[in-house]
Amino acid sequence: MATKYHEVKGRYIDSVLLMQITRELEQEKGVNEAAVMTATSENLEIFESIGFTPPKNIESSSILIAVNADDEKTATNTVEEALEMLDRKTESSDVENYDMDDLESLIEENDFPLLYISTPGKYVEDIAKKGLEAGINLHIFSSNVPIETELELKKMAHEKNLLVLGPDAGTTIIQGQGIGFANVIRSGSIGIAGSSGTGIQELTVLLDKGGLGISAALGVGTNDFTEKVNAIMTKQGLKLLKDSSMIIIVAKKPNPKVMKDVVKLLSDRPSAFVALGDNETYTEGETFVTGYLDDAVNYILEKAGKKPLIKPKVNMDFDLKSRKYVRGMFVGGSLCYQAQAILKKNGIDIYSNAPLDKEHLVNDNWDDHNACIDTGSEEYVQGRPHPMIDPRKRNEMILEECKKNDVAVVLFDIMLGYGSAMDPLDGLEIIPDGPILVASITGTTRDPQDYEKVERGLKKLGVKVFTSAQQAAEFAAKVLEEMK
Amino acid sequence: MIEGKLKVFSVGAEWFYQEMNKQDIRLYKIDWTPPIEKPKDINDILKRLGK
Repeated sequence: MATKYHEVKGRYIDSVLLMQITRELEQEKGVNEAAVMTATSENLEIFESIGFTPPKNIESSSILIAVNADDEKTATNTVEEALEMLDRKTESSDVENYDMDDLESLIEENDFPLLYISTPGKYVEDIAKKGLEAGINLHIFSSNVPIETELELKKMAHEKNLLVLGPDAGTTIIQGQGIGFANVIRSGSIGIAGSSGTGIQELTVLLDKGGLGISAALGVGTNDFTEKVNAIMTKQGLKLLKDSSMIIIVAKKPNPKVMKDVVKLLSDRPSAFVALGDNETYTEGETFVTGYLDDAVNYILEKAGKKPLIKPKVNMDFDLKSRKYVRGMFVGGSLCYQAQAILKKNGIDIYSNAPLDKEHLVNDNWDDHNACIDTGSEEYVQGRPHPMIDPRKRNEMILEECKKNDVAVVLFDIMLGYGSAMDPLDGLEIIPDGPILVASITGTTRDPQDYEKVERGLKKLGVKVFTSAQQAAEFAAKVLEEMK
Repeated sequence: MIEGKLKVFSVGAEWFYQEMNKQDIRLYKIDWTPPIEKPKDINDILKRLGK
């Protein structure tokens, strides 16, 4: 047995790529354990927890490669292989790299400049302020940014007539280009803003299926609809969307007063507000308020003179024997939330790690409950990429549920588009005599993953496939209703 | 209406840089390395020195 360490100084590579490298190294013959991580104090503890003893005095900004192998030669070769991978995976041909100090000089007169920030959250404030000072709009993907910092940045941006999209913003589409996780959708005149990334993806995709395109979709970040942030950037975004023919806003758990203020701003044209997790539906002026994404899209389609979304007819002839539970395994937190609301509306007592109310919280054991799990939440992404980027852990969780004798329905979402995994079905397999599998695909036929191939793959696995997450959840509820 | 042509500067995760680079975006990669962490207290310093 031999253990080797190698410190790479002066390079930042994000954890997604480093984890991919780690996984590939671990598959090498003769390698017992490998880890490639930035040497922060938190990560040094992870190295120790898996049996490594990192060298002392290593710089926290360095990347540390650690390999334990059967022999000296394999360990040395594996470290070499890791170094090659670091170069290969970050190789972007014909690309010139710039510094933060170059930003101002790179902006030209007719630009709409946007700084996309995806560093660890604790470093965002400094970078974001430099961006705003240079007169650049921000899209902050990073999470774990204190809400006080968010508020300060958004106030700064508001004074400068700039946007701060995020923190924790998954999706933005500007001029047909996807920033972060985004589908390839048609351009048009519908404006979207929202605090839910997967909610925005689902809306843009459903509008596309209904024959409408968008002018822009602005992901304003999870906290924008809190009382503290008071939808500063949603309101700012609405100014930029003033020429859009209709508007859809989507928010998860919006503060009621903040929501009311925003609904008032929408009154000048047909619009919809989706308050995910809410079962109340009403119309205020020309604004339709609902808890459901399809219902909002259908309202907009109707106003545009288009046909509503097609609801597929599905055979309900099942033999589920003594099975009784529904289990949802979602990569998208908002779709998980919407599914809970739909199941609850249908009389199903539903639990979650991201529940509609505190009384329905479950963390790691949901064996005695109906449950919808957000597999992209903090506790499931420790030490691994988000399931939209690498779906294998989530898919493993689906298979685990399929093996349980009392599970009647397993519900899940497939997210396509830029940012998402090329093979979202990776690791899924057929479980004979298992529960009914129900999935929705959030995607278009222009997305890089090949929508039809994914759909065929799901059907081959025996999955009932729906074009929207709402339809899939409603079907799951119907199956449980039939079993009563 | 969003005035001006989109120009994106990406700082941080390589994954998202590469995903945006697949599209027709005027994209610039910004180099960044995290600042060196300051040890929190004397125990942390001693731990790092192996004492």
